[in-house]
Amino acid sequence: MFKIDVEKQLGNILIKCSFEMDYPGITAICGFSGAGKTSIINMIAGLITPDKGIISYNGREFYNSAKKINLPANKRFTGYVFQESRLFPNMKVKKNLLYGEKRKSDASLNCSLDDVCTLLGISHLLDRYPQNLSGGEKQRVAIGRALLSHPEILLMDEPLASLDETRRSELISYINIIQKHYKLPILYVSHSVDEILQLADMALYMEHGISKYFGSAVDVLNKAAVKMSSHASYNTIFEGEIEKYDEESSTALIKFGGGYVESSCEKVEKGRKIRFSVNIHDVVLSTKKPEGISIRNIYKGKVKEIVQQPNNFYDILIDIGDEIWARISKGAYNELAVTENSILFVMIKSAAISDTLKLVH
Amino acid sequence: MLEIFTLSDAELSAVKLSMIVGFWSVAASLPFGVFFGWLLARYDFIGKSILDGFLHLPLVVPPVVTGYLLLILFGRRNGVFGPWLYDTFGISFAFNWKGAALASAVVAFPLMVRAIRLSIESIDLGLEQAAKTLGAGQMRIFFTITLPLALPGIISGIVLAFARSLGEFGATVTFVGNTQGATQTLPLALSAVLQVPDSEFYAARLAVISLIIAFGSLIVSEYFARRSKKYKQSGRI
Repeated sequence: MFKIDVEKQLGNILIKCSFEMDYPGITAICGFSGAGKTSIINMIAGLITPDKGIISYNGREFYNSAKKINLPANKRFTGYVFQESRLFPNMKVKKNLLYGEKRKSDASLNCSLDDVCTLLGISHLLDRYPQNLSGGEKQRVAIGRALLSHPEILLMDEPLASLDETRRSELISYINIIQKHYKLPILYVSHSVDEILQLADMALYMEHGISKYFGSAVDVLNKAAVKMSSHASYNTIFEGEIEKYDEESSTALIKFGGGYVESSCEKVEKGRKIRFSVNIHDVVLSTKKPEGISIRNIYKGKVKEIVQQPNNFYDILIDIGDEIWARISKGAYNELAVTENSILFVMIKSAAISDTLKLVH
Repeated sequence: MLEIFTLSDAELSAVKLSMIVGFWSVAASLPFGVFFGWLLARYDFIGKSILDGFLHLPLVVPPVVTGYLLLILFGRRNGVFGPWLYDTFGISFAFNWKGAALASAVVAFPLMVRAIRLSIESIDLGLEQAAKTLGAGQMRIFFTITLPLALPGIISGIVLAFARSLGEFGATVTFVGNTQGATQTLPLALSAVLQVPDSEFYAARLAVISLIIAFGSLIVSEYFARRSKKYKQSGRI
């Protein structure tokens, strides 16, 4: 069980964060830059000291202002993967990997150099200096180094930020492999919805230094999406499972809260967990059940919330089993006479979904 | 022809003494140089700028004044610490090479601290943070990360201080005088030779020796400064 409830004044922003979790998977900490995400994990790692509060993990108190406990960073057993790899330039990869090797506690992760190197595909790099590694290799070594310091919890601060698109998806699968293999709880700071969709099961959303939402990653991202919009467009995110795959038409039938949705995609096996998102502009609303139209994904739902946006748009939240946001113009809004609780038919184009499909580990 | 290269006893003793004085002044002040360089690079504290100014003082004060102050502090008979040092440890700086080494060390110290401080400042603090999260304590971080990465800067500080101590004149002559075989280093010997009529040849020879040693030190220093730059680049992504 991980518990944090702290306050810290940093310049003119007050960081206030409190959440508890008892979860062995990947938890994302998300929010805009400057929202205090990195400060939170720095406080957990012991790199900055909160003004007051408590931080504890499995009954071990890292910090407790009332009891005047402040465990030094080197005694907290928190592995840390930084945005830049921060490998020691005066040591070869092997020495880097083994730098934290001596530390061990009863509860800490048990892993060997061989295992870690195999899992991360870095066995052939051991005799090189960090200067001679590519960005992706550096980050993999950094992850290996953190794992080999036998942590009880792993902290990652936007580890993919300095990588290009290809390396990024490569590293995402490495992180998933590591997590699955070692069952190590990971706190993962990121502002990228894409990364969070592919990695995280749980998420914490931070806003102006304050922890706002904590829960399943999909829920938190959906709540945060509305916050993050003004007149910008955003997506509703769904989580579902592959029900059927038709090879002839390359179409998958995905079961989700609202029923079923069809989308073309590459071959996937039945039962795979999948996430997809629907842009608010790709949703069409109708008061009557539409007939003779090409759209295959039609759902019936009830209006839950109406938000008037600047420049004459209305964002409508409709409950179709899952909640979905749609944006309509003022004219359409008046014509449909949408009010809370009115019943609407919601249509989603399959093509709008296919690009957003993300398999979850 | 070969006579040009055959040094007199006085000259040989001056070269030897210069080397001994240079070596010991650097060796004895190095731990302090590393300490103050590290302190100034890594910590903010009350009175930091005063300490910084104080350490730089020998660079701006006329060396003769430095020598005079050393005399007041470490004079064997009337100095503030001199009699105590002699009675307790049997150390005397008066009119011997140890005094010359002390004078050189004091005058060269700002150069050494400056080079070390700059090289420590250029090390990414993030590396030390990373080491901390890997379980390393202060001491281990200092000896495995900070010191090795600052090494090129430390070496260039050593060379600069050594070169400066080779050239030291004012403070030495004021503090310990100009005695052949005891305190007469190269510059002091040169100055003594110049007092003697018709000794231009010997003066020139001493000057050339000084030039060669100083130039050599500068080249070595430059080499390590370049290496330090390379390290700095690779320290970040």
